[in-house]
Amino acid sequence: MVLLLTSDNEMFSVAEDVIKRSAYIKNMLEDVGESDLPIPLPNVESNVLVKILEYCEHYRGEPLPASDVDPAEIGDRSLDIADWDQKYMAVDQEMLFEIILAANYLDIKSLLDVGCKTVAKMMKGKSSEEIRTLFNIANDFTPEEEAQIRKENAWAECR
Amino acid sequence: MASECRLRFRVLVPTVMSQPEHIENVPAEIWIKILVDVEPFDVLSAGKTCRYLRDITSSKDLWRGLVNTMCSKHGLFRPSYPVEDMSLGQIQRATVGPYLFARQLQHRGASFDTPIAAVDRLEPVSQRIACVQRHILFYQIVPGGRFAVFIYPTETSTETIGTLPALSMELLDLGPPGLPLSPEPALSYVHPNISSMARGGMLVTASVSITSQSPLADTLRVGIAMIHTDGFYVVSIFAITPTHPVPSFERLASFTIMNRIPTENIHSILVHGDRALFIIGNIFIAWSFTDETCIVIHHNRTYQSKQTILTEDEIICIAASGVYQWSLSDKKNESILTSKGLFLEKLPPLRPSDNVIEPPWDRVAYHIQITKRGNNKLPFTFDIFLVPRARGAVAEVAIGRRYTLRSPQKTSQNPIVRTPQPPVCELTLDLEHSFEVSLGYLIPSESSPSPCLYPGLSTLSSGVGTASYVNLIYWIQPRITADTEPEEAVEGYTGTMKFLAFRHQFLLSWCPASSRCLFPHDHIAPSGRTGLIAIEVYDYMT
Repeated sequence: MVLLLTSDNEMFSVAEDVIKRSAYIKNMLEDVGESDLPIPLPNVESNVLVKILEYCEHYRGEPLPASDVDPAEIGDRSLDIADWDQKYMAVDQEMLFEIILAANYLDIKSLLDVGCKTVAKMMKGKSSEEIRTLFNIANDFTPEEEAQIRKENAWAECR
Repeated sequence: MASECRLRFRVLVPTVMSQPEHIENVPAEIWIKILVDVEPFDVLSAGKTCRYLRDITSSKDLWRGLVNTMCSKHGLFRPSYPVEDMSLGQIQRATVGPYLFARQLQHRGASFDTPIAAVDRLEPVSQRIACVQRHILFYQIVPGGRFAVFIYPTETSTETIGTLPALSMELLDLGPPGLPLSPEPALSYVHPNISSMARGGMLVTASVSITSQSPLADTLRVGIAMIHTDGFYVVSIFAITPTHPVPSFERLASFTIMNRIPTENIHSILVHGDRALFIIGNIFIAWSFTDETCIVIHHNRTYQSKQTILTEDEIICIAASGVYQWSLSDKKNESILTSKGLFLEKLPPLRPSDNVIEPPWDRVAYHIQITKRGNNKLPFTFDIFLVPRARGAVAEVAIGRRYTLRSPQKTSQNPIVRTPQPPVCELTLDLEHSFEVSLGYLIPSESSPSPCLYPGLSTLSSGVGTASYVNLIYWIQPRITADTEPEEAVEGYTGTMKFLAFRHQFLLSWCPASSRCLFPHDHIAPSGRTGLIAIEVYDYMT
C-alpha cells in the first residue's frame, strides 16, 4: 500500500498497482523504494484525488501505455472517447479542469488525454462569444485590440 | 515553466474557483494539448476571447500540431506545409484553408431547383500554366496541393525511328497551399528516364501515394506500369522525397510480367508502403518489393469491383454485390491462388424495412471514399452515391449512404486495452447514415476557359449539358434523411467524381483540401491518353 497526503491534509491508502498508473508516483516509488512515509500531493485536493483514484481503479490491471510519443506529433487524433470515460468525465467544469490539472501533475497520460479531448469536444464549432460563455471568460481586450484582431482575421471570414 | 504555473494555480485558487482565473489556471501547455484536438476555426475563435487565450493560440507549436492533425484527417502530404519557413499567419491560413473552402462552397450553394444562372459561381482566384509539355501521359496533384507529379515522353532529337521515347517524371512545386501559386516553379526536377527497364515501353497506368515511414517524414511512392512492345509488362516503384533544392528520385524496385494476358491490361496499380498491387482483369498481383515476395490471386469471378483498397495486409474490394477481402498476411510467395475472396458482408440495409440495398452502381457513377491518412487504415469510411441518370439533366436527386468498415475489436475505444491484430475475417460494415446531397460541378466550356465551380446545383441547362464533359468535383451539404442520425453534423465534403454519362477518363486532378486543381489547358483528345497540350493550375481560394 502507498500512502498519499492531499493538499487538504487527508491521508489515502492506495494499492500500489492502482496508483502506478501515475507515472509521477510510479517513478517516485522506484526512486525512493519501500517507505512508510506518505507521499505529499500539495497540488491535489482530496475530492479530486477520489475522482482520480476512481479512474485508476477502473483501469487497474490494464497495461500501462508504453510509448511516450506525443500524439499531436503523429497527428492521428480523433475525438472519440470511450463510453466509460465519457460517463466519468460528466462532471462540472471546475472538477473537469481539476482532473486535467491533477492528471498532468500526477502524469497520468491517458487521463490527461481524455480530459483534453472532453474540453476540445465542448469547444467544437463554437464562436468566440460562445466560448466566452462556455468558460465564463471575461473579455479583457481593449476596443483597439479587438479591431486589430478583426483585421488580422478578416481573411477567415467567408467571402 | 510548467511547475511555475502549477504553483500559481495553488496560490490563486481557493476552494471555490473564481473567474476569470478559471481559464488562466490551466497552463499553456495543457491548453495547447486541448486545442490541437479542435478544428482550426475553433482555435481562431478561442483566440478572440481573451488575452490569455490569444497568447496561447498564437503559438507556432500549436499550429504545427494543427497542421499535422489536418494532414492526418484529410490524407495530405506533410511536406506540402513547410511550417518552419512559414509565418504564423501563413500557417493559419493554410490550416484553416480546407474548412474555409468548404464554408465558401456551402455559402454559395443553391437548392436543387435553382437555375444555373442564379448560382454564385466560384471562379479560380489564381491560375498559371504549370508545365507546357506535349503528350503528358500522367499528371496528378499530390494531396496537400503543393506538389504535382507529371510523366511524359522525353523528347530527344536523336530518337530512333521505330522505338518509343523514354519516359520522364517530374515533380513540380506550386507553392504551399494558403499562399498564392508561385509564378515560377520553385522546385522542378526531371527524372530523365524512368523507363530504362522497358525501353520502348508505353505507359499503361500510374499512381501516386503517400507513405509515412516515421510520423513526420512523408515520402511519395509512384507506381508505374509500362507495356513493352514485345508484349510484357514492367512495373516500377519510385520514391520521391521533395528535398531542397533538388528532390530525390529513387527507383525502389521493378517487376516484369512476361506472360501477359493478351486481352487484358493492368488496369490499376496501388502502392501502400512496401507493397504494390496491380490488377489485371480478375487477377490481383500483390508484390512486396522489400522482401521480394509475390502473391498472385486469381479471384475467379468477374464481379464489378468499384474500388479496391490495399492496406498493410489485405485487399478490400467494394463491389456491387458487397465487400470482399483477401488477407495477405498469412500468405507467402504463393502463385496463382484461386480464391473467391472472403465475402464479408452485403451492404447493410438502410432501414429495417429496406431488406436489400439496390446496388447503386448500375445507375451511377461512383462512390467516394472519405480520405483518411493514406486512405488505407481501418477503420475507414466511404460513401456511396446514387445519382439517377435523367434525360436532359445530370441528376435530379442524389442520395448518399455512408458506411464504415472496421475491425470489431477496435470499436472498443478503451484507450488502454491493447488488442492483438484482429483476425482478418472479422471486419464489420456499418451503415452510418444516409443523406440527400446537392451537387456541385466544375464546368469548363468554350466560352469560359477557366473552369468555374457551381456549388449546389443539380440540374444543368441543356446548353451546358452538351458540353463534352462535366466533372463533378464537389458535394455540398448533405441533408440527413435516415433515422440513424450521425453524431456529428455531416459538413459536406469534397472529392472528384466522374459521370459515366459523359466521359470515362479522369480529366482533372483535384485537391479540395487545398482548393487547387490541375486542369488540361486545351481540348482533350477523345482517347484521353495523349494529346494534352499543357496543364493549368487553378486555385479557388487564395
